[in-house]
Amino acid sequence: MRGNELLDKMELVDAAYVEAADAEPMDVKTKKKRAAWLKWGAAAACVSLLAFGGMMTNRKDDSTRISLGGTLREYKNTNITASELAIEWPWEYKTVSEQYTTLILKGEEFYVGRAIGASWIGDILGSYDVAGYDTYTGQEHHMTAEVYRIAGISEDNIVAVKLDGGFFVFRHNGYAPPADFGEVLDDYTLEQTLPLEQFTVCEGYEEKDHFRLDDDAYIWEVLSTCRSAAFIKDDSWSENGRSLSFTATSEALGVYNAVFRVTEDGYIWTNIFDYAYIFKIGREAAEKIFSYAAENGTESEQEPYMFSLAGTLTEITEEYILVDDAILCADEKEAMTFKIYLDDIRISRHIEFEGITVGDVVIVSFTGSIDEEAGNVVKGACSLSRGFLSEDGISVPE
Amino acid sequence: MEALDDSKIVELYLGRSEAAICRTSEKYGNRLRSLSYGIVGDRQTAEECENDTYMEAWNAIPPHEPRGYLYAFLARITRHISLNCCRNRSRLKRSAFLCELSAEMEQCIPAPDDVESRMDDMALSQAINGFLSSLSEEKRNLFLRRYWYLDSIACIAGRFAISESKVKTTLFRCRSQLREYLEKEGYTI
Repeated sequence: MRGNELLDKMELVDAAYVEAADAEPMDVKTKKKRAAWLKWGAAAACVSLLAFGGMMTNRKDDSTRISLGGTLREYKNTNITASELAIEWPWEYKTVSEQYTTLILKGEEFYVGRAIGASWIGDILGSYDVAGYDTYTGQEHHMTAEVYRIAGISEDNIVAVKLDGGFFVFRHNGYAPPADFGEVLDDYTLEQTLPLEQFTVCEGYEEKDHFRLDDDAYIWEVLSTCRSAAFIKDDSWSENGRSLSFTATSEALGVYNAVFRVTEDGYIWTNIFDYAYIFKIGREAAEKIFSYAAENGTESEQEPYMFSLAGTLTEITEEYILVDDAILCADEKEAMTFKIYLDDIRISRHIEFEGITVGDVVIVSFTGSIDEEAGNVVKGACSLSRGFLSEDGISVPE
Repeated sequence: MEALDDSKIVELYLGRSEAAICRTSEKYGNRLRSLSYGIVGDRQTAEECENDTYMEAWNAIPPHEPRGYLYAFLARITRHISLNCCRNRSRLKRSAFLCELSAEMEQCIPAPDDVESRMDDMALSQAINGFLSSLSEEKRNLFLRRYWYLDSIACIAGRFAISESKVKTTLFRCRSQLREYLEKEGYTI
């Protein structure tokens, strides 16, 4: 038998399996909620040049003042849009955490997440096989890596793996919802691992105002009284009333700009565990959190998912590239040249493999700031995309 | 108008009422056309395949009475017709896609050769379904989206809200597991 015949013979699959594969499984629906949000986050990153929430000011002369990670720029009124890019990099162009993505620990599959600082690392659990797959050659790669506990987090859920000198969060890959909120508090020590510092007041899905909280201890005190809050399995759950949407960024949990939402009618909705989890904490607890947030929140600007800057690539050296934003400036004389170092493969691979070159219009995503004293060095640059100028501004091809 | 129950639609076929095709089309037309389009990549051809599906269903019911699995029954016909159509019409330019899928499927065969399947369909069905039952629900669905519905990797990644690289890795493992399963169970295909 050859492959084409087996492909045909797949029609012998049981009807129930065929039907099931055409339906959207419940856990995937919940997962998609997360994906949709992340996509929104990515989209926000893409338009962030124009729409930095409160940081954007429309000017009388049809220009827009925006902040690139704290650096103010006055740009022409252009719509800057970009699509999500999904480049599958060859093995040698991947970062180590992109290469080795899967860990099997005690028979359970864990999947790689974000980098984690050494201060979170606890006891060593042992050395285990981590695997990766090279889609270009079809070859599976394996290496042995040290696996560690993360302080305060059950190793059944999240562990840290040492790869190439750094630590990375590996999260359990299955859908294993807890019975109640207490189980989550115990397994993840959320009061220590999840700071609730930034929140947005929402009416349904509409975001209203953004606030900062200096101290989240009281909120965790309230939440610690909700240990028996039941896990609600409701894939059709949607936002109706008012809610406080806390930005959930946690190194220990390996999440970045996820959501921890408290609704006025007494629910918690969060996507920090990959799947959408809902707990019913009750109106009373929610009211306490709302009151505390109202009294102690200080107005702030919206936190973008990621910063972006765009411009023309003017120079490529062995060490860095220069990007000039004159094409966007309301006054070209005010143009700035940004320096992005190539010591991160996430940037250099776009030059080496994707062939981005001098003269191209590019969009750089970054999570840090711009160090003007050091010569406009972009800190935390993590992605570079080729953009194209259109009538509406710059867009990135899919 | 509310869609009819599958069993009532099957009754219409059994009663040789042409309304059977109308009701089938109302209930499943979009899904069947979309399944076919995913394979043939051409709207007009997909519509032809959909219509041919109704014709085949008309001829196959009776003797078949797929009351509890009408969609799967129809989809199997659509898949079969669409695959044949794809192979017969070079203008569809889908041969590269089919070659890719065939090459992937070949990795599941312990000792691929040019001899036609040595197993009858019933035994082969048992082998494939036995393997599928050993997979987790997500892996099984992912495997079927690729090799039954013939979805692209990107489409599967979107559907399951996972990365393309994870889809590829999972499929690679599933193929290896199927080969091992067939070897271990002594199936010679």
